[in-house]
Amino acid sequence: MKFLLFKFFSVPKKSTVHLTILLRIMRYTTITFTVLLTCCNMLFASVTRGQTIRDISVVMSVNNQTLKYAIKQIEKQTDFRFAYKNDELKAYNNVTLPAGNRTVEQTLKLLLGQTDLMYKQRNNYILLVPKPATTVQNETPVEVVTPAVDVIVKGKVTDKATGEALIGVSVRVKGGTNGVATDLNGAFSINAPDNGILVVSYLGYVTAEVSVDKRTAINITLDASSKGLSEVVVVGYGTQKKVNLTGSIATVNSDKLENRPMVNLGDGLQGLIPNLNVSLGGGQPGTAATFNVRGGTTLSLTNGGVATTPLVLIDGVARDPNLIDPNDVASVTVLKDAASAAIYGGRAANGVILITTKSGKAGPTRVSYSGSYTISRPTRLVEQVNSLDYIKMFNEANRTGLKSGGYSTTPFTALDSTMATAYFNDPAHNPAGYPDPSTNGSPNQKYRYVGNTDWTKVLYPGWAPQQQHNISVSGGEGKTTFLTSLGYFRQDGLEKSANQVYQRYTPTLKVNSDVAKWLTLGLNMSMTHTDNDQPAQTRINQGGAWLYSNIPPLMPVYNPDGNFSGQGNYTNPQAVNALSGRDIDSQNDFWTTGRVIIRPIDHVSVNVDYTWNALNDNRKANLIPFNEYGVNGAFLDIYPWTNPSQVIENKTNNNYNALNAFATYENRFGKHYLKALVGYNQEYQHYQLGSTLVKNLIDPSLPASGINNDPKPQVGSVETEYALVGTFSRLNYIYDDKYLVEINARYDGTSRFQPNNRYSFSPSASVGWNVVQESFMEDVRGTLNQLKLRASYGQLPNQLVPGIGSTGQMLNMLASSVASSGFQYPYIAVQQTGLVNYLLNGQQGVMVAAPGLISALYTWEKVQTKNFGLDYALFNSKLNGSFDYFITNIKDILAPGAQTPSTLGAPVPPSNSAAVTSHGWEFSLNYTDKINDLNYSLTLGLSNTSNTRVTKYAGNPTQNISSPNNFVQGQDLGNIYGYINQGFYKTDAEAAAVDNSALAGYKWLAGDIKYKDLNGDGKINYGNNTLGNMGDKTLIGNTTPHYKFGFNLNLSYKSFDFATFIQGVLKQDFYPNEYVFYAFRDDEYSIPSQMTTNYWTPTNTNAYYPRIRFSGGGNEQAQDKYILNAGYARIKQLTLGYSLPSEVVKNIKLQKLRVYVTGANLFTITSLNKSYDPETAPTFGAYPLNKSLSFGVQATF
Amino acid sequence: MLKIITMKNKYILYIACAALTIVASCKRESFLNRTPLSDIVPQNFFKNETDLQLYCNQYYSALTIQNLFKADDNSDDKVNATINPLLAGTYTIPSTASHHYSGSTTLDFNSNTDGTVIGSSTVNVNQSGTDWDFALIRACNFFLINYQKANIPDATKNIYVGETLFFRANDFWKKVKAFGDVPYINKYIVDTSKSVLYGPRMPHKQVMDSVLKDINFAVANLPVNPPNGRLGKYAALALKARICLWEGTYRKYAGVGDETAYLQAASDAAEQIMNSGLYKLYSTGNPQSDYYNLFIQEELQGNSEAILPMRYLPSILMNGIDRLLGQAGDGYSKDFVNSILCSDGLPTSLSPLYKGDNTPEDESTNRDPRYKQQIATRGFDFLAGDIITLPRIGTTTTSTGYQPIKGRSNSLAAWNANASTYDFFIFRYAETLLIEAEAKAELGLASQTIIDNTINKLRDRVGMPHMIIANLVKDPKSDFPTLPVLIDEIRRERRVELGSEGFRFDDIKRWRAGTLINNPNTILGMKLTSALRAQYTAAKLDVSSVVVDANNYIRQYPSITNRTWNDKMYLLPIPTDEITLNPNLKQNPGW
Repeated sequence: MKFLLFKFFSVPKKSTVHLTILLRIMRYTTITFTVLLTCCNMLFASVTRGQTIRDISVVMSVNNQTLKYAIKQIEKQTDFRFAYKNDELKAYNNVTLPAGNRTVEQTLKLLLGQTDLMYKQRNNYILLVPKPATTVQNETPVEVVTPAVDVIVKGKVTDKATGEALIGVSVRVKGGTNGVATDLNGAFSINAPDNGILVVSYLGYVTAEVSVDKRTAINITLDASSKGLSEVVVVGYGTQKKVNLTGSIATVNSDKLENRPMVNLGDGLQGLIPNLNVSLGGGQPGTAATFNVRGGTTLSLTNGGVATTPLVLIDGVARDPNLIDPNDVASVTVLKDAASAAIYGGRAANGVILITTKSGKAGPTRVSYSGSYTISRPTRLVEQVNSLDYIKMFNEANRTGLKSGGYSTTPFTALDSTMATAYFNDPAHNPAGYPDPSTNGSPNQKYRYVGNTDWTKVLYPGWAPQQQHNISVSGGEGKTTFLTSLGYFRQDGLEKSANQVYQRYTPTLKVNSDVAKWLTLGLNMSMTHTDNDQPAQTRINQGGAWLYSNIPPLMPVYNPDGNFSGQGNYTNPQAVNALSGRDIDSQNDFWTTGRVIIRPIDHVSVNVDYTWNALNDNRKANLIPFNEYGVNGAFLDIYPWTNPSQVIENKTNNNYNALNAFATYENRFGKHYLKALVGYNQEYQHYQLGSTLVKNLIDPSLPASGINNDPKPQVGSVETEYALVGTFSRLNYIYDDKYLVEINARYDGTSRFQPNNRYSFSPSASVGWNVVQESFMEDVRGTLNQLKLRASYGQLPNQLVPGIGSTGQMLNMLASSVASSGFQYPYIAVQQTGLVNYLLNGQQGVMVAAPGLISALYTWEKVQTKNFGLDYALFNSKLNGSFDYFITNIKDILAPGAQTPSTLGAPVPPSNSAAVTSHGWEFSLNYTDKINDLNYSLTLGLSNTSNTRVTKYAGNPTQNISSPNNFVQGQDLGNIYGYINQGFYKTDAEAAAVDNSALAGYKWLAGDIKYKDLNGDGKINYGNNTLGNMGDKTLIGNTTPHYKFGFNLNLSYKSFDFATFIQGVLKQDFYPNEYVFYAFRDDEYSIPSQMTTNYWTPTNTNAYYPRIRFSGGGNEQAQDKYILNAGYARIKQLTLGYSLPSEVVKNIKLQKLRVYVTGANLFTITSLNKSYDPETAPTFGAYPLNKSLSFGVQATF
Repeated sequence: MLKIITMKNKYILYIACAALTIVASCKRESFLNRTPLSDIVPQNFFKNETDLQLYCNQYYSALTIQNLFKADDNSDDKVNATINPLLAGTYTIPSTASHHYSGSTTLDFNSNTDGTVIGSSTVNVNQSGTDWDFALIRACNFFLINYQKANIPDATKNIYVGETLFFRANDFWKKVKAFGDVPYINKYIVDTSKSVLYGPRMPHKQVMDSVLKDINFAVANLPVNPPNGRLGKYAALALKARICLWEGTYRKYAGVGDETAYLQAASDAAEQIMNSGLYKLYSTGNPQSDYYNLFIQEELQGNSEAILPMRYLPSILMNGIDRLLGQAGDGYSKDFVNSILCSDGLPTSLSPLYKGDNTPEDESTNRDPRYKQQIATRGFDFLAGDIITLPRIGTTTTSTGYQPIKGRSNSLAAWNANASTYDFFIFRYAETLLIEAEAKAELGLASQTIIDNTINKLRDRVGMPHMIIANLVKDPKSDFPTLPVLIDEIRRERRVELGSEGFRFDDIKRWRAGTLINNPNTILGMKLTSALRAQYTAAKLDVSSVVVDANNYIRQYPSITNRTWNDKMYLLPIPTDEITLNPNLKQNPGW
């Protein structure tokens, strides 16, 4: 909802408007507002009824009397009040009006027809102003040299784009002292030399200089500056002019999000706003992006990606941004510091993202269509070794194992090598498998595989399609505007044989109606329907992707006799994808918001909105057993991991409703500007899940839970509730457009804590100083258009509990952990139920466990932020941006409390016992200009967050550092401790001389890694893995990403437009510890990647990798050499568009038609090996991200 | 700056602040009070017998089972590919205690210290109880303060009190075995600042007296015929016999006194089981296969030798034992193999039938049939027709050439699926017989009748000649040269019969016989002569890198020739954190 600042009241200081009426209104306002506030909830009944001049009639006659007299008559009979300049009315003292009953409108028309005045209605009062002068603009000047003569120049200043009159614009004579401001109609009148120059300046507009050239009437239009300082930004429960912001707030408008395809909003927002961190999670269709503001600032590194999620509000309600159509978004605002977010209190500790969707505009009905077709494939994929390298490396590793007492197994035989080489060289004429000689004569003989399959290529062979369409109809007549749209998105999975299809339908309807001057009604309805159809996810299918695995290159996709390969020893992903059943999820997320905005009196607006959400999810996954075959189709076995057949049906229903009610008062008194807000918020959520798991289906291909032969189907249910109330208030005060103060307060209560600790009060304050408005800056104002210093301090509570991550809002309401009772009732000890691994009566026993311990003092965490910022604009605001520095302290973090002896027998209940601190900065710069027909703009965002330092943590008294996820007081989160690599042992004797037994028990050999004996005790070990005694380990890195940047370049030349967007991270320590990094990382079944082929041998002693071993744990320790920099720069977007010339477009009855091509993620600069995508490297194994090429069209009818 | 505010503005400001305060104090208690809708809270529980039973069900995951996987690796019986760190002297004091409580819905009181999941992590006898963890004790104590709420007859309540005390006794006994003196927590603790958490350790003997009290209550109150799978009187007696033999012999050999009552209690408990007539050894009259087959039974419920089985059923509860055993990289030691009698009932050092150990065939010929029924020898069907010829030496097969096959079936399906449903023993009648024989012998009361009813029953099953007390000859290579020959031979019988079942290290501790591991034979494998190596080469099996000693015996740990016992190893160290947290705890000697 927007609170339009009534421009009428932004009275410029030199204006001569008659103020008596204003003061009267103000008195009204004061009294009403006071009553309103005191009553806590709104007194709708006493509100003055609104009226229009068409509705109200007057009975009157005037006979040659003054105009003033006539309008007094109207005032007597109605609530309308008139505003005028006495001077302007003086002239009219003989107006006439025949007696009659007429509407006010008719009356005024008759009266003013006799004058040079016109009227304008603003709410309850009517302005009388002179009619605009009719002037001839292109008067040919007469070239006569005459001495300068002062003339009275009259004119009007309007916005070039909208034609709207600009009020309070400063018009002065260049080099002189004479200056005036435009009035309510944008009109001005100034004494100026007839050869002088008028300087016309207005905040947020490009200053214009206009020669008088002997004219007496000059109409002037002003260009809004690029990043208009007049821009209005959405803030908590309202809007604020950007120039008046005091907190750290960043905004992106739809122009940055339109014109290109994206899978979800997060995809589009990535890198656009400094320190808004978006993680895409992976490229699997339907994968949600996760958000974070200013880094992982709490003790939640271990909670896998759900850490420190900000509160996301879409049109004022908490929703999942992944589920809306990005095309519907009008703007995105991020409230970064505590002071800005404080109005949202207990949910906003990790920042707030405000998303506003598009609304209809009055005017003719517009129909817009945008659509795109995209093809995509993985950005980067693991490159596995080929068959011959595999055999070579396998046998080499085996020899090492045998030689050193490490892991060894049965190596490949000479026949294997011969057959594999033959196939490798001539696959057309050689078999990919031959009958295993050792099982000759057995009825279930297997093949020995000798093929050469690039499984990555088999699984990700080509380009997957993706398409999106959005059609919207918007418009409005008179007081009602509407916008309705239908979005459709379809994405096919990159893993071809999985046949995954994700579809999203997003119908929306938004209607706004100014029912009366004092009343606006709004309705917002939207629904997201998603369908996701993918192969059944079993334990073997890693979250829907086969990226790296234990599939050897020797295995073909099909046995020589045509059956799927596998034979019980190996999993064949193609077979599993094709035969094992589907996982089908369909979801309806229905949102309705009704909104009433009442303006009972001037300056006051009351908003009440109520949102209702029903989220239903149906998920059905089934497993179908299938057979595996050996030589010549001999039946071997049933593939075990999808056997027995089963179906899981989960039905979830989540009801959520929220009420927001708030009143705003806004006014200006001379140099004082005041805005106050007070409001109430309540939310309630009710979650229900019913699930069944049924095995032994009678017909495995008919996944219906009712048709089964399962003696004990499993049935589960979860039902939880959650409630939150909050009252909040905000006060903005501005003096003379220079000094800005904002004070926020919020009082929150939650159902998540027990009554004694349930409430939390959070105040915050911020101040700003518009330096450039000071008189001493007047001289530079032409160049330095804006310079504002800001400072803020705030403390926000956080009501969420450890174990889930101290998150502001869980994006996915259906995540079972969020709805669990442990999350919703953390202060109530419950007795868990479950199954015990013991058969009682032929079934696993059902058990009820003892309750856990709950701390009695459990309450809110507190997040404090200090923010210091600076906004600047230069060269007619062509160059602008901001800089912010912040310090975040989080205290009373709910963390494992001080350890107690284990004799307690239960985990120590979490208590408000930990604290962390971090700091950082963000910088942004925009530049917009044009060279002839070439318009260009560039935007640069750069940000950094320090490592998060744990300042207090009782849960790890010994300061154990064995895992990077351990929290250690006084240390940074994400620290990597490891060894110093000194190359390889040159001889077996050198290796044998060092005691490495703590790292690996096998015999160390030449080519194994030589670690530095840091503590000089002659042994390489990790002490007891504590900070005080870490043996030869030392701090070798930190996984926190640093220096994130985003760079946007937009060009337009005539009908062409071009945009590119580069995003990246400059520094991030990455500790690779996966299959692809080390050959045979886990065991003989881990397939090495191509990068591992550069390993040590007696003839290749300068290798990157050590001697090859099966599960060579000793060489795979965290060590400085293998800490990689996961920094990168990626061209996220490259778009070229062409808009058909308007004449052409008009001929085909369109208003606009644009076609474009976009490439996404096409180029990446990184030092990481090709097997890693730097964006997902730290969570290696995720479904690959995609790069894509899109073709799109946008049309407006 | 604020000074500039006019009087009127100030007025508004004050009113606004006042209004805010009023708004802020609007509390909505009724709206915010929410309680669990689908969870059990203690106030509403322990109403009836079902509740008590459901609560007691959680304990059952704490039963230790004889699952045979890598069992006895921490003793003189086995030489695993990976040396046991405690016996190698490389064991370091853990800093933190591991715990068995978790938020997951499947609670498991057992940990698996080597990280291998078997049947969803239930573990075998010698791998559990070594953690300084009191989660089960807490669960028991919570029951004991709540069960009285149930409105049912006392006798019914006492069944579940009996189950609770059975598990509490078992848990404390395991702690005593591992740590010696332990804090005896028998109260439910809510207040984490309470001194009881910070108390000292209770002396070993005092703890065990409480353990005996608990187990006696269980014996007295558990039903003779418990419902399917639940604990009954005889399971309690089996535990009592096991605990009391351990404690009795411990007291005797550690020289702490008061052992007679425990030895007598062990014997009494064993005799009650024997005299019940409910149990006898499993036999189908095939001495060459009965012992092997006993450990690959799909169903042990109803098996006369199972006092309490650990059952598995397809698609309900399965284990991965089949493949695990096949790939354990485990092996019996030379010392264990030497201790197996020859088929004439004489030790290898005395028997004329012993053919030496130059080849695996020689060594296994004329031996107690339990040799070939627990060690893979030529002709053993390893996997669906995959017949063993030469012992398969390697990290995924066997470390020593003596590959354990107890519990190893040749089922291809089980191997492929890595899931099988062979049942394990929790209490096996054979152990009861051995307890009776040993307890009686230690009391000096072992008659030939006793031996006939115990040891000789075991020998009958495998077709070995009877042990005749009068004819016993002291083995010149005995592990216990100073012990009476009867006790010596009873211990040998126990070692062979219970091979791989996880009792050996507990036995070593109670016999105060740690120095047994100093014997070089306890880390040697089979003899790998050059002639035998040649056979491997012919069969294309690579043993080129297998290290042997001067006498051609396989050396699994080439860097040492023998392990060295240190008396501190009798007890495990307490995690350092625990000592820091509770200064009343003192570390065990030597650590």
